[in-house]
Amino acid sequence: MNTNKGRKKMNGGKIKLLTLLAATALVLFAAGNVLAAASGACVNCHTMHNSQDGDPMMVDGSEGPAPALVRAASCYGCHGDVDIVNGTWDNFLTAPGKTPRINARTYGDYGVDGDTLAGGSFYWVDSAGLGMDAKGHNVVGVAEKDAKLGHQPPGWDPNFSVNGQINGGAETWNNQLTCAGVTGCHGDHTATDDFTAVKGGHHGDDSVLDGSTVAQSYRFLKGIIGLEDPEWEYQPTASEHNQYHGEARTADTATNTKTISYLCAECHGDFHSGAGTLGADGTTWGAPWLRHPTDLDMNDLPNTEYALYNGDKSYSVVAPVASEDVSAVKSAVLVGAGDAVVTCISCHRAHGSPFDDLLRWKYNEDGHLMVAANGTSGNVGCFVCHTTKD
Amino acid sequence: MRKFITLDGRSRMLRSLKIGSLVALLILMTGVTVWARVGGACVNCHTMHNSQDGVSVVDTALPALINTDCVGCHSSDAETIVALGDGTRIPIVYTKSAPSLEQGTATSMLAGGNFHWVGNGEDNKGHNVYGISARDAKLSKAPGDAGYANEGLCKPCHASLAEPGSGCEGCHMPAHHADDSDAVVTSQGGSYRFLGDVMTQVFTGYPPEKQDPRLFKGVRGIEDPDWEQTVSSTKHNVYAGVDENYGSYPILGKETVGQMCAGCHSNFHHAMNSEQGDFSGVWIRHPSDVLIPNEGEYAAYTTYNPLAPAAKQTLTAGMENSDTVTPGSDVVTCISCHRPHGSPYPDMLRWDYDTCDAGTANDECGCYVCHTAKD
Repeated sequence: MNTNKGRKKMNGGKIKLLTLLAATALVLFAAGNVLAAASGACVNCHTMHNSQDGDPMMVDGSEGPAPALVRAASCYGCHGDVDIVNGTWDNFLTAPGKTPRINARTYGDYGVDGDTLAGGSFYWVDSAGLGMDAKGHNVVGVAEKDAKLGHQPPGWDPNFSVNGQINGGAETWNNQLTCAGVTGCHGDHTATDDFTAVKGGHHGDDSVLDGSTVAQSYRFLKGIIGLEDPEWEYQPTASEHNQYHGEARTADTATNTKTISYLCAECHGDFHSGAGTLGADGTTWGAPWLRHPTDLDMNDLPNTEYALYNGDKSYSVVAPVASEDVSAVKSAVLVGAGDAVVTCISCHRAHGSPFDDLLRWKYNEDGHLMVAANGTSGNVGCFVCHTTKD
Repeated sequence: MRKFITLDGRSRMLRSLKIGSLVALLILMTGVTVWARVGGACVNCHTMHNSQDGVSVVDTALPALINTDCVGCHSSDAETIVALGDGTRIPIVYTKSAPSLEQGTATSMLAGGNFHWVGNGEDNKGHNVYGISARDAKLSKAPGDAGYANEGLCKPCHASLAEPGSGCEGCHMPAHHADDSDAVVTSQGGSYRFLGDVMTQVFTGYPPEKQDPRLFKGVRGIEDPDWEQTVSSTKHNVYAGVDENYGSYPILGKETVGQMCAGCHSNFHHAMNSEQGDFSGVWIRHPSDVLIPNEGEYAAYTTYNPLAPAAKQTLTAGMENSDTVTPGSDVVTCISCHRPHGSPYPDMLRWDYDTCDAGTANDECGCYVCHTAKD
């Protein structure tokens, strides 16, 4: 019996086309929904008229209504642990639409096995909680002005303005840090409020992160690129994590303005690069450093302790390194040039942590863990890179 | 059969066009009137002395000698257009059984929606109107009220439509015999769907010099001849809108359907932008009577979809058969999302909002008609 009866013979072109389509489908299937664009029921986040049964629809206790018709008066209102629909949520996995939570409370020693996400948590700096200035960025709506620093970011240099002029370029900061906008980290730095700054971000097409728009920037950090872990590094592993963008610098100047470190330098420029004794180094590039280097590729330090990063050159989620190529997650580093770049967030968590200076690990506090030559620390914290100093 | 959204291809559109042309030809040949002005035997609706065979036709004689009230006439068991056989056609807004959500049947829900659900006790699925429903159990006044719900003359309508003295006439000003033969119906023709300026009822006793000159207007619009029992992108009502912010005072000066809604739900319109005087700020409530932007995802709404209709600023004959939406000129309005009488969905929405998930395509979610990139 001819089982092919009735079938149409496909020509080569059709076969190629179908093969291509099938391959595409497989890639998409395998990748899953890895985009950060907001998903889920509109009602989770929005209210059309801020009225339900005659009462406000806000979830953060504010009266509303709020810009963009969202159900909170601030970024923190949605990204805190508020009850949006189905009760208080513990982490993004139980949050409607998997909203990333930025005030998680469980950190552990290194922030990789609790519920704290990659950016860290404001819980420890939150004035409604512990109110400890040194443990997070003092953002409007989260904490009061830093009692010691005031509004001025340490290392402030207004010349890091390629992605938009922070603080309007003024030498002195008269306003407190915000989540987004002209005095914030996220969104468009020309906008004067959080909502306008991130407009178009949550629902934008972020399939390509080239830094051209808020939506197409890494974590809405306009101008910055990177590869976003779909779970914001909730309990990350060497094969499941963000891939940060860094630059293998050979001089103390910032030529690549799309790195995650450049984002930090927009406010803390002198910690990244600068003339004279500002920046990481003086007239040279290399030890002795004036400040801890960032955007330094450890591939450029062969035959040193750094060549043994994390002991076995596997990617460390405790002290992550960035890479020039961010097209894929790297589970092993020091494989090729530009894949082991020290960056600001190799050591810090941008929102906050349980530790001073927003560090990813305890450094100089009671029971501090970073003790040189104690012979027991292993590849943790500083010693992930400084492999022979433990 | 698809639901009210029937934008499914050129062939269907062409077929609809052919059928529509044939129907139009038949109508012209038979001379049947297609506008909303009432036709038919007087006795269908009126009783001269409220007496027939010595028995009262209605318990209490009604104004205009009618033999039943608004609800009585515009209700049925199931059909949504009741034809009395002599040209009288009654659009039905309250059916005993749930109307069909499929367009084009004898029981299809009409454009304004249906009171069926609120009449069965589901308060959030329709306006609670006198004669159909008791007062809303949760709402003590119209949401978005700008303060009129507690003021003497205003209270009967602005607090609730479910009280005597309010009801259907809280929104409508019946003008069944007005000449509405103009393609664009205005207050001269009894206003679009009799949505006249109900405030004139309040001010009737005022001397002319004290009356607001913006009064005595009505909603403009083009009325679909079967109230959208059959509807498509090329056969539909045409709603009027403007691109400006209304004041909080409930005057119908702009003759738009959105301003009629704003009369009671004032703050939903007046206070929808952080800069209440204009639209230069950020949106704090969903915009209505605001231009559909000719940019971004909104610029893609170019083919009229009766699931989420766009309103026109300037109305001309023929628009009722046009499938063109012009971003940058046409506007979003209240009834782009809501059906004023009621619907099967909370908040009288035109679609099931609970099925609208960002990032998930759903051609029955009206949000995505405008927000074309969010599905």
